[in-house]
Amino acid sequence: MPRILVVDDEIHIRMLYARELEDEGYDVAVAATPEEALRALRVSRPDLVVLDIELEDSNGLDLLNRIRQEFRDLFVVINSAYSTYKADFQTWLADAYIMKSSDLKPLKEKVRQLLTEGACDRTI
Amino acid sequence: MIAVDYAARTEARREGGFLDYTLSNQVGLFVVDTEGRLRNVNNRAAAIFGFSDSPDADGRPVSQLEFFFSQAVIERLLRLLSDGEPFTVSCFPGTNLAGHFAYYRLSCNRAEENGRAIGVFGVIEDVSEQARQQQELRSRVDELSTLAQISQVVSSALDTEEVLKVILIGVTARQGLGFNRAFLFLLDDDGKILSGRLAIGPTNAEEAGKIWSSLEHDNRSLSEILSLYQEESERSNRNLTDLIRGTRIDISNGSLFAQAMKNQTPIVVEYDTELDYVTDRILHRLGEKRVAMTPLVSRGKPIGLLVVDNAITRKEITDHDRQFLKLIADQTAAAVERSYLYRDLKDRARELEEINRKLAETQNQIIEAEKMSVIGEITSAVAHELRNPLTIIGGFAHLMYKNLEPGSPDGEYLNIIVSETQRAEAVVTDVLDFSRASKTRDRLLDLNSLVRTALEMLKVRLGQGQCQIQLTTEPFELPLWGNPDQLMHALYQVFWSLIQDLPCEVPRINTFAQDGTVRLEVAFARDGGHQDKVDKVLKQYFCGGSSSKRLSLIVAEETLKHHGGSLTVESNHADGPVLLVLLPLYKEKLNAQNSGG
Repeated sequence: MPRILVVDDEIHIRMLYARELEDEGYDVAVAATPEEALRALRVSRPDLVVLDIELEDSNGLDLLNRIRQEFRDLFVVINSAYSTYKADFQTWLADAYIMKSSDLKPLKEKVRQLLTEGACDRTI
Repeated sequence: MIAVDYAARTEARREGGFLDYTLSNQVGLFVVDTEGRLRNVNNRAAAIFGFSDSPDADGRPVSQLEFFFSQAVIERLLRLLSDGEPFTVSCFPGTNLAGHFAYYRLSCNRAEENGRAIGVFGVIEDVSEQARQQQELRSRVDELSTLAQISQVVSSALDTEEVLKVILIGVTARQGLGFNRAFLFLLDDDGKILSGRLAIGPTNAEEAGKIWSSLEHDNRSLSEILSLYQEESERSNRNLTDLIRGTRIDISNGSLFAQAMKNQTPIVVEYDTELDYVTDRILHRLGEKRVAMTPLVSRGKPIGLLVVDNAITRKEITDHDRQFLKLIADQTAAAVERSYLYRDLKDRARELEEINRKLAETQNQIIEAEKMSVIGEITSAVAHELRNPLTIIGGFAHLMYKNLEPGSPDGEYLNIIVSETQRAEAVVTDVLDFSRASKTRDRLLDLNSLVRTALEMLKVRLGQGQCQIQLTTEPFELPLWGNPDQLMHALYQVFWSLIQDLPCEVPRINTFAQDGTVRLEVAFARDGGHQDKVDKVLKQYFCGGSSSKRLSLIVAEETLKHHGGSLTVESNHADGPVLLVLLPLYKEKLNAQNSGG
């Protein structure tokens, strides 16, 4: 069963995503901070990370950098309320950039695509 | 009448030496006896009257002197015998028996003896020289008066044209120098080229007669002459000015014009003066070879040249004329230069005014831009804060909906929560797009390109083949200045709103330029059968208050207003009600297009 780590400082987002992704058949772990996320990455070695950028007191892009240094083959989907970060070249390190929405279909579709079809070109 | 023995009296006085005196005096003396005959006419008086000598005049009746005295003077002289009132005629013209014309002075007193009139004693003098001197004096006074008036008028005149006109009229007015015509050439800013600027005077004798007779009046002030001149001689002045307008003389070419400027001295050109080619051509054009040229010199620098002639009367230009002309030129050159300074000052003031206006405009734009920026930042922050809760609410509602038992009554409510959340998310997306657009810099844009891009985006959102909008654009650019993202977003929202609210209609978009604006009209097919719906929707957009409008349309309207444009509905259009987008035409670009063919 593919493992997914959801990194978001909003507890209800974490709850929602965990539930939706579990319903899709994934093993889901959640983290509220970069530290928690790194710990989870080292322990549970997930296949994909859903990463928010605006984290409380920290920046998801810094975490993305760390992930790319330590876990090169890990898929990362940026999931942000801000479209402006699309222009930030740091986000190009991720495999996908999906805007936050109550309609989780695009996110789930991208996760499925990455995990089944492998790494593909980053889609904005 | 009492008879007097004049022969006896003459004899008596001869002994006293009186006759010796009367005969030898340079003043003409005569006596008229009680019978009105000339007696004791001395040689000078005889010569004045034109008699060969004193005896020739003796005994002639005064009434026969009508060739010399007017009838009124003769009557007055004879009446003096009875009324005893002495009189003097200061200066009168007369022609004597010999045909000599001169001006004379006559004084008469009654001669009495023991209170009884014995005759009239008269003194006659040739005052031609004094009259000539008086005339000369009057001319000089007139000239000085003209000069004073010119100085007075030009000292208060600041407009260059007015100053120049005053100078030329002062030079040509009969009360002043009375030249027939005057031409003014002024040096350009580089001090190299003398250009024909203004001329005053009649173009022919007939015009001269008409103009001069209308101005003929001894006591007219220069101001009166100025206004009369403008009425009477505007056409001829214009014709004369046309003669020199366009004439450009290089003051380094050695012509007489150039010499007068270089040496700063007046030059009188006579008929027999040998002329250089340039001077010859210009004087030929003016139609008169005898002219006086006087440079206008201000603070040691020549600024122009005054050329005068007597082309109509052919009167000689005297040394005195030349000197007086120089006096006027010297007096007025400073005024001309002052008018230049005033003109420059006015231009500078106008430039400053324009700069201030642009500065105020720019300040307003900055304030507006800052306002927009602040609005953008606030809306962006609010929108981002809203996106997470909306994601959570909509997401959980969707989750609950999925897990509901089929047929559960809560399904409908959850569905409502999901769709309304998605609508709110769409608003948030619009607002975020707008706030992002506000960060882009303004630049030159083409309305046609903006419309095409907005429609392309619409096609992407609707799917190819779903976008039914018909577009007709001008074959050339419709330039405007603005924020490309904001304007494109505004147009996109207008189109999107129309498609959302009028899904059965096929909008026809037409772009064009008119009255300093670039325009976009959105009309609807008249045979669409939904005219009422179109009317209702458009009315709702603009008459229903902001609460009934889509938020995105409010933002679009504000964006257009921010760019100096508008979003309105024209209900009386030939094609039915049309939505009209107006934006200011960027003129510099249009001018460049036109000049480039």
